[in-house]
Amino acid sequence: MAASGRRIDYRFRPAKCVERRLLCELFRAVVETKAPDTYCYAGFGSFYFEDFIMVHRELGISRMVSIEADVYNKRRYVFNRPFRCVDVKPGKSTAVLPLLEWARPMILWLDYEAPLMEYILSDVAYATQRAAKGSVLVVSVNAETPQVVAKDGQEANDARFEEIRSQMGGNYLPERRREETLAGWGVADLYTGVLDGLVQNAVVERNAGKGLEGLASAFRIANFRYKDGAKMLTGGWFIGDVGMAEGELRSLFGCCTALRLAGEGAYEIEVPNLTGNEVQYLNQRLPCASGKLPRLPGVPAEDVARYVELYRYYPRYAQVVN
Amino acid sequence: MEDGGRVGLDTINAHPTKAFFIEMLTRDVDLTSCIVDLTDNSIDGARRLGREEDLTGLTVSVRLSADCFEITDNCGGIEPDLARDYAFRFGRHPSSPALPGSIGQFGVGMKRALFRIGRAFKIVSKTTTSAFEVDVDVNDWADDPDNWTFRFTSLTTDTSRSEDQTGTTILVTKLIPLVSSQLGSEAYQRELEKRLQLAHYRSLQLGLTVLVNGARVPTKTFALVNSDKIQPARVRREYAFPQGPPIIVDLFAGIANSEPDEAGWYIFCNDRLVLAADKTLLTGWGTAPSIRLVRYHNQYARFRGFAILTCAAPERLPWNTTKNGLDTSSEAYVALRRDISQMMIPVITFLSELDAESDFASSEGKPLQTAVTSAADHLFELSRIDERPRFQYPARQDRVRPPLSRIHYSVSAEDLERAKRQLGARNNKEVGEQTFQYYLEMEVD
Repeated sequence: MAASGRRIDYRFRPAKCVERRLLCELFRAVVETKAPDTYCYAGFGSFYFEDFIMVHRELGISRMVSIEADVYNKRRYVFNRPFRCVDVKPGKSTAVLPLLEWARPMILWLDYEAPLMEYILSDVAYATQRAAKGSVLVVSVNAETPQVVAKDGQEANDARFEEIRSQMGGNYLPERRREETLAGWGVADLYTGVLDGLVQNAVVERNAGKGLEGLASAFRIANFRYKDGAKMLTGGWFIGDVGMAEGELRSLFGCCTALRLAGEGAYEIEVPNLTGNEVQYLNQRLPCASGKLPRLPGVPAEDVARYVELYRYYPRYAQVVN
Repeated sequence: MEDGGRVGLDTINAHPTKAFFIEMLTRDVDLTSCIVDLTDNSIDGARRLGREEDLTGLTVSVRLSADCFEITDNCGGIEPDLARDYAFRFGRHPSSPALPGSIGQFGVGMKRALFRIGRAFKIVSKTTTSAFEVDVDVNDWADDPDNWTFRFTSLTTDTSRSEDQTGTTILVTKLIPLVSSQLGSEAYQRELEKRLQLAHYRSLQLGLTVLVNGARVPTKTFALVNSDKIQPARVRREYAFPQGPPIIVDLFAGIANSEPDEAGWYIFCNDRLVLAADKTLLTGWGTAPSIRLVRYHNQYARFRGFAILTCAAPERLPWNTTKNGLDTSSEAYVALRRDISQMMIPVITFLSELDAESDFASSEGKPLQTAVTSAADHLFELSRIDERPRFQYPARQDRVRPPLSRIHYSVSAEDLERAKRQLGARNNKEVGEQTFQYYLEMEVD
């Protein structure tokens, strides 16, 4: 989205890049159950459209909508779109979401950079209510601990809680969560709980008045955490039939490295910092059927282990010398 | 002691008291809702005549004074069997004959209304084949704790009269003191007219005549702007339940004139308005732990939404027993709030953009304001509005942020007024803009 388009070049955020590829694997699992042209992809393309490039190339989806809050630069977004099939819709996400083709199954990635604000929760509720069965809903937010100064006599954690409450509005945030620690990944834990509660509530609303036919559930399938700079959190849900068993979910997403069902905890993306030579050396020895990790001089074994887990998703950079 | 009969040592007495119905049940309901409730029975009478779509020739007349309250209709009357077995029961009996699409359904409205208004009532009802009269002094009835019956003062079942001679008259006397002073006031009469006009808007449209102290309540029209640039949403939904008939819901959302008192949602259940111009959490305004919509502010005074719910089984509809609000615990309400919240977003977005447009430089034009102004005469009554999944408004222009600067200066009030008159400007801001524009045109190349 707008401001960040000037600030950050997404292509050089390795964990984000890995996350994108891991998500693509989840998307593929559902898209392959139908023809790709039944699906619509919607996201925030920014100037770089990295997710759109990936989804179009890898999954063959051609119905694509990029939501751009920066309404004053539409021409620049349109100029930068990677394919003709990307429809750039200027406007805030809340205003543009109602314009999407909700009758179609959708891959929707609401990739915010903000913390979990009230409007984001509203967008997630809206999408959960409206997404057709077979859709995947993904939301990414900044999960940094708020930097606030506690007032006299106030605990630091309490001040952080109040700050988060002011961001997301009191109605979304249960008071009972006040005691949770908000240091480290504490904010991500809090957000995860709030999002799960919100999504389940939206499912109840969605199913109201639907009789016994057409009832749906939102099943959690992704829960990423990573830190390219700021701590980020991504949650993903699959909208499926209400009676879908865990076994069916596992078989649908069985091949996906980062599948995380409800209650399974987060998948932390930690990308080791390796040189091109090191990457090439490891790649030539992967996959390693023996389970014995290759060694690299001077590189900690845990970094090698992380690389081995993520090597299929690891970004490739080339330096251009001029 | 009023104990509803002897109970044994191993039994707990849960027998109702008459005071509960006379004193308690009437506490939470306002007088106007009670009177409107009595008029509902007349309209249900018309339905029993099979007159759902044409109520021409049917009249409900309400007379108010400080001494008595009277309602008279020519809507078919009450069959003695219905009166004997069901109409006076406290609460709807399971074997009560169903009247598809009716307004009355809780089995509480008439009795509660009568007790709320006064301490004596007389009901005279005539059908084509029968007639009866019931005359009750509430205090006398209350003094006899175990007698849960009323007696017909007169009853005939072998008469023959034409349909236009049928009807029911209810006369309430020995008014509760506060009710007496309300019914005697002209201001209250006007309030009642307004409520009846809204509550029975649909029945009035279908030809029903409603009189308050002889004055006819005018028909109300609900309309939305429908022009080439601005078009309201109209969708039909069906709320299904595991058992029983579905609720059919017709939803409209759009804009009309800027009227804070009229803005908001209007909810109808079986043609009866139960909520008017609502701008509260009940209809999704303000923060909620779901879709979050703005709190109402006068910049949204053009907003109008209509939800018309119809169900053959009225108990499924999300109205409360006083029919002046919604039963928020019902599944139908949850579905309704979901749908109206979703429908509101584009209208609210448009009205926010319309409001923001005033911050743009005048040279850029005001496409939304222009669209609204040119649509002012294009108000369409709801039945004339086509189905459309979303509220439509002019697409966002490919905007370039105008680099604006603000000028701030003071002049003498007298000079300002002279310039304002000369320019025909409505406010100081326009004086500033027009004089600056004049200078640009005359002096700047």
